[in-house]
Amino acid sequence: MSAVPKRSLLLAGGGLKVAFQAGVLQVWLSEAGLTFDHVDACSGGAFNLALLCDGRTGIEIADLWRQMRPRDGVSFSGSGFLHGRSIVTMDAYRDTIFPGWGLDFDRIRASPITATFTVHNRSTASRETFSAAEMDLDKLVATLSQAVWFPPVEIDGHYYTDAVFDTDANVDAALEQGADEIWVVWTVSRRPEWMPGALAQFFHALEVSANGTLESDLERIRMNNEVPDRHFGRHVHAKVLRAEVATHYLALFNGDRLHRAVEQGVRAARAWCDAQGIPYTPIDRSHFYDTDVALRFSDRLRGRLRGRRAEADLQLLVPDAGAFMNTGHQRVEVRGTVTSSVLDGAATVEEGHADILLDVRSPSVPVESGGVQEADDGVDPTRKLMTYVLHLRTPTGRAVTFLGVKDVSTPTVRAAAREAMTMSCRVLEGWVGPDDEAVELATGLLWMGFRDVAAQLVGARADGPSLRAEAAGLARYGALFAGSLWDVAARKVLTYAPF
Amino acid sequence: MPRAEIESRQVVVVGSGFGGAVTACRLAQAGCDVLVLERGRWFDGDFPRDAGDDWLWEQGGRGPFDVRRVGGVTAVVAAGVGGGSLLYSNVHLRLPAEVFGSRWPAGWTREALNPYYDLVASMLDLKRADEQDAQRYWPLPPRAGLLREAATRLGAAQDVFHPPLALDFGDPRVCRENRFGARQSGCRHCGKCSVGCNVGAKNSLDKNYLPLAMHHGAAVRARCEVVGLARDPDGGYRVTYRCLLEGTEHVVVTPTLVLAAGTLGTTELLLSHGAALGATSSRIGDHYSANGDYLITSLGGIEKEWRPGVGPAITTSVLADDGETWFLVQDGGIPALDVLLPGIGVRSDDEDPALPPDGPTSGHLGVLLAMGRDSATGKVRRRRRFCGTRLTVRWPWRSNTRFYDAERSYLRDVAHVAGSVGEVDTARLTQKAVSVHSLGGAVMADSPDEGVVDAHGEVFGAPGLYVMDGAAIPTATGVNPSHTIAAVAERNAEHLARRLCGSAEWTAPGFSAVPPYADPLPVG
Repeated sequence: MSAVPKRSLLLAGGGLKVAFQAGVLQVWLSEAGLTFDHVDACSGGAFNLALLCDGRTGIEIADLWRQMRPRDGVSFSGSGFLHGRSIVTMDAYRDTIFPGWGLDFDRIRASPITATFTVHNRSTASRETFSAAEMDLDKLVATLSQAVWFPPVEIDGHYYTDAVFDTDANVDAALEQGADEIWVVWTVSRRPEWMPGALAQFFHALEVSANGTLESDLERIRMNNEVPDRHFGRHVHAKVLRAEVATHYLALFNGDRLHRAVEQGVRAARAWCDAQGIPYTPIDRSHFYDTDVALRFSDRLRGRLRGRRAEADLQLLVPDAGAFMNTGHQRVEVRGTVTSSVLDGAATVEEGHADILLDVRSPSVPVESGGVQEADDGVDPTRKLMTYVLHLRTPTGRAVTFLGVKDVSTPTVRAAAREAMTMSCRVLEGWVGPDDEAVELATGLLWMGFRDVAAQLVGARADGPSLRAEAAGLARYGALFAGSLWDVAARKVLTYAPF
Repeated sequence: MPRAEIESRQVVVVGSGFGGAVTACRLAQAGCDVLVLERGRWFDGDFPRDAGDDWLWEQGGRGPFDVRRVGGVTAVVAAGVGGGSLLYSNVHLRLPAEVFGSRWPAGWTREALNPYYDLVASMLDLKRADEQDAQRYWPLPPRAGLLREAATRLGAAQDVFHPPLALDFGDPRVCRENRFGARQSGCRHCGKCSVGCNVGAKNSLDKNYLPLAMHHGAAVRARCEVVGLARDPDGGYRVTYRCLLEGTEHVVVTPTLVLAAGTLGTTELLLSHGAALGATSSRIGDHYSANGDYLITSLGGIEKEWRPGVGPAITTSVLADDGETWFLVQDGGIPALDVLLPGIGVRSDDEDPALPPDGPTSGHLGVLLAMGRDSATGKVRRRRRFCGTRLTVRWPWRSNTRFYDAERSYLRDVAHVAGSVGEVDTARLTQKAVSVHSLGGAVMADSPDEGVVDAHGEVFGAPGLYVMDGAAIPTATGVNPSHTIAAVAERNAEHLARRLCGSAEWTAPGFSAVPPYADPLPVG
């Protein structure tokens, strides 16, 4: 083993889920200043590798994804579909997205990065890699061209498709480059769920294939590390950062959802660096999405606290629709009153906020075995929480804290809708945080009736620079809400909402 | 009728429910010659089950249910030896101490009544459904868990409790003699408490107090309906009753007449004959209470089933006391209904007692009951109609609106939390109370200006005439009233027995050895 370990980065495929990878690159490359001796890309990972070779920094790549509108990449195959070539094409990426990114293949070919783009050559039925110096637009498209969905690319009489059913993270390429450390950013889903339908089955097959290949590659590394001389001749350290990313591989038309995947990558990579003890300097992008559109909703619930009747008449204020929808910090300000005899009457919210439809996160500590270290971002996109923390002043002057949680997790539309309308509550003595110890004054349940839901829909207001911006803000909020419920309850239709 | 043919008894008790059975038993034990007149029949494992059976009292006086539509109230009353104990939900809860502060005559406090509650508890072998040996053969039914879960989610976990039940929780496959010589077997959790128990699992009065009374020489005449009351010229009272089986009329004279014909029965007798008997109070029929009874049926449950056809009629209760309204919410059990030709009937009792019974038709129905402290300001009156007179109750629905609203809202909230998709709420549509807990009408009081009977149950102005049933209870009990009716009867029967047998020390046998029984009602 050389004094300075050689480090390979494998940008695994995952279709549009690789937006997560862009967030990771921001942290690893730009914030933590990590460097790699070799970078390989399979399938969707080629988006990011092409940008790297084009001379973009990690933060620049993340920012390009932050501006991306996935519907710009949609182009249907037309007659190609009828001939069984493919369902969609990469034409819109060739014509719109790549030029929008400013991809310059001369620059890419001149890149100092040791890069390999892994593809599958259908004509020789073998795995091939293109170095940066060999790259052109066709080869990039070939790397990305998922069979069935995109037509194969003909280069020099050979047909190429993406490599995902062969490998989705080319460990062998890294080993050939003499890597001592192999870092993998993995976004192919490993959720233990089965969904019906041809579409879901296709991607299940893809996941089985990609996850299986990665597992056997990692197992090879573990076996090598037991007796390196019988295998690669050196100890190899693998680090895998996995995440369940709440976007579909292909069927996604809403930028907000894609941008949340980028931010998820940033969050996950920072948590990962924390766990590894790798220092980084966070780059603040929180105002990147600002739209100057504020939103306001009424939120009326009734029910019981400590068995007594209770009513909450709240207003939710979204300070900026863009930041709210994109950063994953879905926090709103809350004003209004909570009325119950437990609170001596109508208690006023003096300070309150609510986190709307947050994913449940339980990041796993990196686990290492046989030189293979695996970490998972631990997000469960199929369970959404809405947590309210309200500091109330009762009519008699008491300070109490109202904590409310809506927990949306049952995978049927009716139950999920009901859960989104039902808030279990706790009332605590004094003004405290949600995790502080305090005297519990009451527990209970509040819920919205259909009239309250109607009032929320009708009473939604936007405040922005133009009518168009206001309407867009409301529509985006609606898409976030509906999409979140979809992720919980309509996974049978499509694992993640396309909006 | 020649004087020689007139029967004479030391005590005549009209009615065999919680007032009559207790009084008859204690007076017989004190050595009195007691005759009990009961309009209904003996039920011995032959409660109606099929649509073609006799369900109603109107059906020749054979059915156990007497549904009386009296003005603003529909009162459901039992007819049979054992009275309401045949059809009630076996719940025995004590009156909270604060209730005695209002309208009850001097000397009535919870402390004073506690020993008599204990006595009733021991006679009826009370047991809560959550006690370990009550769960030896069956666990708590699903609706008990559902109600507890719903109340807990509404923040009322501390208000949930399991009321004591007068039920035999022994082996459901074994029939055996109880300590009073009546045959009983263990509860089958078949949900048929409210249509009469054909396996003898209910510790109803015909299984304890009445056999004990008969053992001490009391005569119980079933199917004998009192049709006339008068003062006997030689002193005492003259009771005319009709034997329904033979259609003959008989007369019995007695110096001590105990009215325990049920709240409406007793009040009706006093309204018709009170003046002739010498009753001086103008309050006859006043202070009627429907005990705040309210019932809704919830339809459906998305994930959970109430399964009302499983388990004893009531197992679990939630106290709702917000300082203004006070009521209990309870899980109702109804028998699983099966569609039988030619109509709808209740499932047969022949099924294997080892199998948990369940009906195909009613799993998703939830029956939720409430009862509480209503205003107790109803007035029972006799109204002249073209074909005679009719009993009517003027029930002030309006002044109880707030109370009923509170009950309805709580019931609906419980139903909602338990996953209901809709509720049937007939009382709201009809604006009529349906009460299975009628109380008052001849209430105890310190003076005839306030009530009809004195603190010992003796009618003002009519010495030797006693009211010993729910009619004497001066307020709504809020809780299920049977326990209080029985305990009040125990105390007043003790007083009467002492007078009749001339011993100021007389108590019910074993009274001093009765262990105290803990009432689980939480303090609101």
